[in-house]
Amino acid sequence: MAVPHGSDPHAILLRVIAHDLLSPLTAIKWQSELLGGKHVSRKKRQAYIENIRTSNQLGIMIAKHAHIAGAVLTKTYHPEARTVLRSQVVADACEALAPQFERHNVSLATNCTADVAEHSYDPALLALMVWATAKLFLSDAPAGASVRVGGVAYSNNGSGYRVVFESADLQNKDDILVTLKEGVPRNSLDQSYVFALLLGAVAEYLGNVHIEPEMYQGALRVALVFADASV
Amino acid sequence: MGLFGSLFGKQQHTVVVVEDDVSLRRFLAEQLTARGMQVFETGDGAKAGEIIAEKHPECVILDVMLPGKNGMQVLAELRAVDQSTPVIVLTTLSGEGGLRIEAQKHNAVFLNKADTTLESVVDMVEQQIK
Repeated sequence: MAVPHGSDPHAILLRVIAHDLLSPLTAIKWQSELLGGKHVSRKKRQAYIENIRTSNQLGIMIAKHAHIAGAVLTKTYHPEARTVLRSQVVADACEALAPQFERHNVSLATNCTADVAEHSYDPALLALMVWATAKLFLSDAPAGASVRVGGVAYSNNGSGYRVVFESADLQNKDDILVTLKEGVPRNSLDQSYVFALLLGAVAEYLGNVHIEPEMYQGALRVALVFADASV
Repeated sequence: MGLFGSLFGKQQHTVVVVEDDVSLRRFLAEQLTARGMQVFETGDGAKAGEIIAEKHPECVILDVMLPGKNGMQVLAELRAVDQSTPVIVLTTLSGEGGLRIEAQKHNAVFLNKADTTLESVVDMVEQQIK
């Protein structure tokens, strides 16, 4: 297969994020077209308007992540740390992802036990990490697949927190694991590669997070391990 | 032959839509069905080849970014066994730098969703079937 834009990882990432953003924008465009059609029932009209609202929210979320991702990758991002419950940030980020998963008929179940105490983090960077990991899974999840996200405090003083993404339903699970460990794209349209790249870049930015990918009982697991960060 | 085809005593045209975004796939399917076509859908690149082989469609609408197998891989595999079924590669990825050329090399039409109205996609399907 031809490699359209060479192998520059940032170019591929930009391309994939632009693609991601154009999907809800296209949905808005097409639904606006349908709304302007003749003989549109009240029920259909309401459904289109509701869907436009959801697509708009999704587009805004992706654009915000893209904005921060660009700054992180070019090392120009200035974090705005504040005290947060990591469990709450992860749960909120997953909730914001729900429409994106629904559009692919993939379920996302989140169960994060509460952080023991607040810690100093930039919530936008945490949310970006969650999005990158979730997208890593979503990009190879067939319709009907399920992805689980669990969060738990793991150290004695409660300063460590571990967030685990897991799915047994992904296609090409072994390839994704290799991509995560070795950082080599399968091809020029490899979405898991670019989200793995973004995940690594954000973890590096945060400094006290590391990523543990593994295959566990037939499921791909990616753990985001937040080390001591007490304030 | 579906109801529409039966009513008018002619064969209903068959289209396979391969698109993993459920909303976009539904809009396409609704509009194609409204023009009297029979539509089979999948959002899974790995299953697309199987459905195309089973349904023998008169046209395929093929997204590129898909789980399992990307659309360009699906297209290459289809063309290895079938040179003639019209394929419309419909993606939000830019055609610059190779995708459009690759699609055309495989005798497929390349359309960018962001530059295309829903109606013009359906028009293109009708044009390809004729």
